[in-house]
Amino acid sequence: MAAGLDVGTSFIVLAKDGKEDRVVYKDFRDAFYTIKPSTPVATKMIEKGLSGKVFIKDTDGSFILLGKDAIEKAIERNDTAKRPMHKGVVSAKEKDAKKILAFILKEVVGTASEPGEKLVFCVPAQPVDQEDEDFDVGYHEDVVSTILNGCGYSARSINEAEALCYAELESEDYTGIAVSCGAGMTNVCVMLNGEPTVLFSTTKSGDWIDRMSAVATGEPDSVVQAEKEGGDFTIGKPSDSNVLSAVSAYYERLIDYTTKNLALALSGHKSLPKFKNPLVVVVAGGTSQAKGYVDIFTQKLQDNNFPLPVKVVKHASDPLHAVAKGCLIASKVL
Amino acid sequence: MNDSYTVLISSVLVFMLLCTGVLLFLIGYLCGKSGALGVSNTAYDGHKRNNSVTSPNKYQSIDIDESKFVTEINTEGMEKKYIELGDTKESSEDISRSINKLKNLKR
Repeated sequence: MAAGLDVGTSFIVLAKDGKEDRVVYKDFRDAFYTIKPSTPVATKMIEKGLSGKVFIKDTDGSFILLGKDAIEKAIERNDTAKRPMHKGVVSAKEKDAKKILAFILKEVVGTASEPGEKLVFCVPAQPVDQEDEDFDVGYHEDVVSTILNGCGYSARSINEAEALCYAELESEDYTGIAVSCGAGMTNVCVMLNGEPTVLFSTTKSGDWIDRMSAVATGEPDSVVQAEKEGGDFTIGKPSDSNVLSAVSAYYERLIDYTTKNLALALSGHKSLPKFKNPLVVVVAGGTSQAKGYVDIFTQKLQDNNFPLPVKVVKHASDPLHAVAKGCLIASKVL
Repeated sequence: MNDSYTVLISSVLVFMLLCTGVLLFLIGYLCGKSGALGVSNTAYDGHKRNNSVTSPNKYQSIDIDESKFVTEINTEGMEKKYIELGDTKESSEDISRSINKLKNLKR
């Protein structure tokens, strides 16, 4: 038995063996919202009001809603739900980040079916556009390993985009490019015959779109995110909704930024192999699910003089679960 | 005549003495450079050998592990108020072919 775990800024996704080599996925929204009652009477009333929701009661008497219930409650109160992770790694600024992340991970992965069960989880690559000293992939890796090993697993990490390559490039003999567009970061891997040759990330992704659209429209980030995920819009086309128009515009800027960084990072890179044939570029992640993403991405690669020949840009078959699937494959091979 | 002969002999002797001195100096200098005489070129070498405290090489840097320490993460006391967490979905795809192909490539 083995497992793969996508520890994302927005979603945590577990992939485990099902029947007949099928995969069973378990996913959970990586968010929390804390309500601190002011009086014992308020405590009873709040607990009654939260009936049916996913929440925990902490040692100090506060209620911590988890997952999509946390986001809904935050929106009700015109507030933004908090997240244990920020830009792909454990948030250093959130006081309760480690504790909440540990709780959610333990609940999602459960106890290992046998001691030392292999589990591969993903981590981001070092970003090319980040100067924040709090961004520490090594620390994030240590925190997640500690939590998972405490559940009886033998945990190791691989790069997020590398996992995506394992999930989606089988038909190309594991040669091509994978772009994982998460909430916090965009991760890229160039793979040749199963070996990752170039790995990097950028810190502009889904959250950046939410933040910029929130500032442009005066709405909280949570509201923008909810409307973006539930709304019907196409990237690059206007919409009746101000929020969706802003989201559409920022999407286009994000894709332009990502493809420019991709072209710059790969131009003259000393580890870049000389590919004989045009490459498949596969995109996945929640942020890539917007209508028109692949078309705009293909166009921007051309506009920004991408240095490698591209056969096709395609979407992963299951964009939200692809990274976890890749981690599961890696757990059985590496 | 005796005087001029004496002066001549004296001059020759002085000249030979000078040449010998220069020659000896050159031999000594060259031998010293090549270390054939086992003499160190380092100044104050005798002083350093007698000195029990030697100064550290200022060009050698020693690193200290500054990586963040992971403290214990305690979730005891957090009371669950729900039955099930997360959405479960079974996929219809078979990953055994992917696994076998990747194993062959990695060999």
